[in-house]
Amino acid sequence: MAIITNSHENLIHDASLDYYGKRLATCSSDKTIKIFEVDGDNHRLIETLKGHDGPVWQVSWAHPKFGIILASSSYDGKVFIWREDNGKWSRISEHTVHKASVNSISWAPHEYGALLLCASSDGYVSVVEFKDDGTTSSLLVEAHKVGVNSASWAPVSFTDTTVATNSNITSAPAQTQIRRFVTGGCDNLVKIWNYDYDAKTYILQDTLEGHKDWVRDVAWSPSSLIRSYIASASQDKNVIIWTQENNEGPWKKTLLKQDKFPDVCWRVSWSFSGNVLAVSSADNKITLWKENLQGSWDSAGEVDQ
Amino acid sequence: MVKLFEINRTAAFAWSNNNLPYLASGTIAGAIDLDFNSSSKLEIWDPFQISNNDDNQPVVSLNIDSKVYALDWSKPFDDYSLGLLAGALENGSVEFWNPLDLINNNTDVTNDANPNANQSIFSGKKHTSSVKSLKFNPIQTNLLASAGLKGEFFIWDSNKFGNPIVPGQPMNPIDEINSIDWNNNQSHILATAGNTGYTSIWDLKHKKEIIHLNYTSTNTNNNNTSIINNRANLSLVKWHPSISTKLITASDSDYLPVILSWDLRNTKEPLLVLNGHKKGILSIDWCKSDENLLLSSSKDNSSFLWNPITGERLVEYPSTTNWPFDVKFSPKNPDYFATASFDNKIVIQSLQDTTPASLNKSTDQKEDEFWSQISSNNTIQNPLTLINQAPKWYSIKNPTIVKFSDGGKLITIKNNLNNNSNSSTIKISNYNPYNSKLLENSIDLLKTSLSSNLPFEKLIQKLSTQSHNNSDYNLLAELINSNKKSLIKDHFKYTDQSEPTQILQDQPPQQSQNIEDSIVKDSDDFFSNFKRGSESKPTSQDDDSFFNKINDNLPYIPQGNFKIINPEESNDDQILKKAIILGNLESAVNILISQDKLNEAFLLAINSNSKSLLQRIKNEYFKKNSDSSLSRLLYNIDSKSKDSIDDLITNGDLSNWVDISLAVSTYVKDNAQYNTVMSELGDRLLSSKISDSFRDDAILCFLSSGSLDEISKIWLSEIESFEQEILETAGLTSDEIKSPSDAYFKSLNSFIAKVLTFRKYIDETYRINDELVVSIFLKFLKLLLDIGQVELTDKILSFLPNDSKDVKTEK
Repeated sequence: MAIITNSHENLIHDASLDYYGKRLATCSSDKTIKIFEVDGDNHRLIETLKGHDGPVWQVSWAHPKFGIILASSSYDGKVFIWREDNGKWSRISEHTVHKASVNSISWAPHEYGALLLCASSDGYVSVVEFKDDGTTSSLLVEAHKVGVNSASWAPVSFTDTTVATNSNITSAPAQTQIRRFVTGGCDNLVKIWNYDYDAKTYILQDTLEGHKDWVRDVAWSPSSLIRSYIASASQDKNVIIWTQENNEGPWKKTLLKQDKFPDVCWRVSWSFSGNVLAVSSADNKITLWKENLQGSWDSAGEVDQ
Repeated sequence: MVKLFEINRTAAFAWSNNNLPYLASGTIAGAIDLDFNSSSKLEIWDPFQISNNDDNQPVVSLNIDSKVYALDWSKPFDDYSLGLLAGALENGSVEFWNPLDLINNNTDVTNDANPNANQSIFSGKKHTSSVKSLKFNPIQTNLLASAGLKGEFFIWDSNKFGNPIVPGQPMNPIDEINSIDWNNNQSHILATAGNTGYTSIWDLKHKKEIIHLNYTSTNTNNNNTSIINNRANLSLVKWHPSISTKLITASDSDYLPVILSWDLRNTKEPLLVLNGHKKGILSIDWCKSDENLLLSSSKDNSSFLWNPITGERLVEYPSTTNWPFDVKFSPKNPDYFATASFDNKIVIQSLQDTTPASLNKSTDQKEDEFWSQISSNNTIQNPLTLINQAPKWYSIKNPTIVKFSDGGKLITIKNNLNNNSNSSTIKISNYNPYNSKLLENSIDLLKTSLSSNLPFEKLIQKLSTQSHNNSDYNLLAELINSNKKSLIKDHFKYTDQSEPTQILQDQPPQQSQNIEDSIVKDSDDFFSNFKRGSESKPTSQDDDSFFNKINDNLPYIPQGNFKIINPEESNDDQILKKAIILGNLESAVNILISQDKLNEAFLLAINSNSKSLLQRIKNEYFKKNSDSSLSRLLYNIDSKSKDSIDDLITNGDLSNWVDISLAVSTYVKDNAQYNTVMSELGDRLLSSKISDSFRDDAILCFLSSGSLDEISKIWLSEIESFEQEILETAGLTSDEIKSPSDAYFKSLNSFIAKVLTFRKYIDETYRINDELVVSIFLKFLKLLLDIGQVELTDKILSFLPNDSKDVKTEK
């Protein structure tokens, strides 16, 4: 277990390990990003990245096939893209379409290319595409009028259900990816968005009502089970699990826990293997949850810190 | 700032307590409308456009008796799901409205139809003069304090709507109260401020004024000596959002336009003096969600955002052209606030705007433009509204963060908020989500499928207990005991049920054996039967008798005399015979074809050794007998015709697929072609779904062609149904399957093990190519890595194609 203490001068808001688990990026209200080399129990600070004018909320590594690329988002409304080249870090791109804090960033499944989903307090989400020729383009979608707190991509799936049935596999036409993501906002709503290949933008597919206060975090499970799973954490002290069968039809709502959490639920995160949900709440507790065969959720323990 | 909405009214306002709030406005008292309209209106606006109309119209608009000095909107309580709205009226009444009723009535019926619908639910007539300020209690929401001229000051209870109570006696007579605010922690404490210079703190329990706050500037170091010993008029007051002893007051005096922060434990001196406004302060609002944010507006037309704890001025907002007399945070979403000014506007804007300010527009502008711009910048037009400190309602309040990461890692962050030392701990640990039984079985299965020293029978036995569609393993066993090309024949011998008889049903049964014999021969020997037959005398042109003769195995012995040319014969026949005699075989064949004597033509062609001649006659034969399935079969096994076997594969009726596959294994000698053709047949079977066993039949075809990619694709399509099957069969007491994700893992695991096993026996140098299969492999390998199986992952990775970028990254 690697333990890193007091690495920033202010609150730490996010920490992200790269694909290989070798590099850790952290970010803080001290407006900096730090990169650590992690090897087993050891760690070494290798770089401090400066440039943001406000607290840095999130850091996210791109898939390694795009290079050693890190994205960061800040209260200053900006998203920076950083790259390491032969041990030297530089800022290679700035994404400045948002007018307020960018609260969450996440890279799309790498099969879609280098696409970054950004959620902002200005009420919009943007999807920035970093193209092979070095240019970028971005789509802007108004998602939650008074602010978007979080956005999360669905794992890769296809409209053609050849994978699901015994139908004609070999002569199947080129399959179309269903590109979807989920957003959660200050309007208490969770919304599902789907890429429309004709309109060339993301279209609202479903609006999920259930929370009574701000949705703080949403997470779409990366496991490709028969069902899609989304977890949403809210200021109302509830976590809701939304499930959908075979990528279509209505979303079913299940409360993670029948009674409320003791305090505001801030973050939810799915494990890639095992579909375990981790919840962190304002009472400083981290709890783990796993679905049982009856479709409800059992506690899988608490994380000691 | 981003301007979100603008209301063209000079009005007092209040926000509702929703995440997507409404805003109520009431025609302000003490100002004249642009068109000197003296009517008064209460209106409700939907600035966040829940109803999405862009025409800037209110959702509620009703006439009221008098103009308004202040509005307040309570939190939802009891039956008021949208809260209560209260107005301080110029005529001295305190009005209560149910905003939800107003909104519903306004959209449902017209005012005329139901004149009572828009009336207030209670009209409090106790003030003898104008009401200047009013406020709902933040803790006991049913209580409302109102205050106004003549020092009149009352507490109303909306639960009973009767006579209000008088809170108590002032220390000194009070003239006019402009500002009133309840303590946010102690529901019986409130503060008032007015034109008497000081701010009063009241204790309702003891029914009296308990503290008196005033402030006189004693700053002798100030260059502007004229303000020494000036007394501030503390006309505005707001309590700290969470600490009960702290409050902020502000002075509307132009001589001393200060904002003062106090701790009541020391009333002699303020904690902090915020200087910056040039003229008297008109309004302040302390953010309920973050004590580090305070809005103020002034008679100098400026509006500021402060950090009242540090004293730092954070933002200067664009100035108005006429007094901004009220500023208020949206209570539930304080990223937004509204400013009401006497220039006929209520502007709703965001606290922060990160769009780059265009201060230095261009360097190539003309001189006169430059000066005109400078002068117009007297009022700040382009403020940099970037707040460096994030408001508390962002992640700041969140001390603990958890996150799963690649490789089964769990990251936790803990920030210690208890002191100012900013201590933090980040931990990275491994997390294994599966139970030991599932892991043990799965790893064992993979190792078994990779091991090279386990006897095959044992291996199959082991694999079968953990997998789906175990018949596939039986086929694999057959393959190992046989070989790819003889698999089909051996298989149908094994099962001994599908003797290839169907295709020959048109023929007399006793002939089938002989025909089969002929099929077994090489295609080069196709005409050997005819060669044999050439010794016989072609006495009949009838097809049937022709074939009958073939079956006659007695050697032909010519008997008796015969005449070659008979003058009674037709001319053609004579020419024909002469051509034969002279060796003009081509002409002879032509004549025979024209006479439809294909048998004789074949005999001649064979003797001629001319391939083109032979081909012509074959062609004629096939054309003539296109309806005969025998002819079709003959065509198909004729290796001299290039596309012949493709006809069988593409057009052969799949109910005869066994015979088709047998014919292919008999006649297609080229390995590459054999593989292609069998694979095509497998595809056809798969897409036809012709029988219950089409899937297994296709697997057999693919197995004989070594198309592991195709077989894998079939299995791939079965992963989910297997997952479902595992889920359905897992009992509540299963110690292996406890969660849907366990079934997913097991299903994937069995798929991978199967592919690996088949690969081992079909072709150990084979790399899995199909993109989808590769992606499933990678997905599974990620799971394996998550549970720390690095060695196994490496080994399996070596079976994937090297040229895939994804695979390379993985490696």
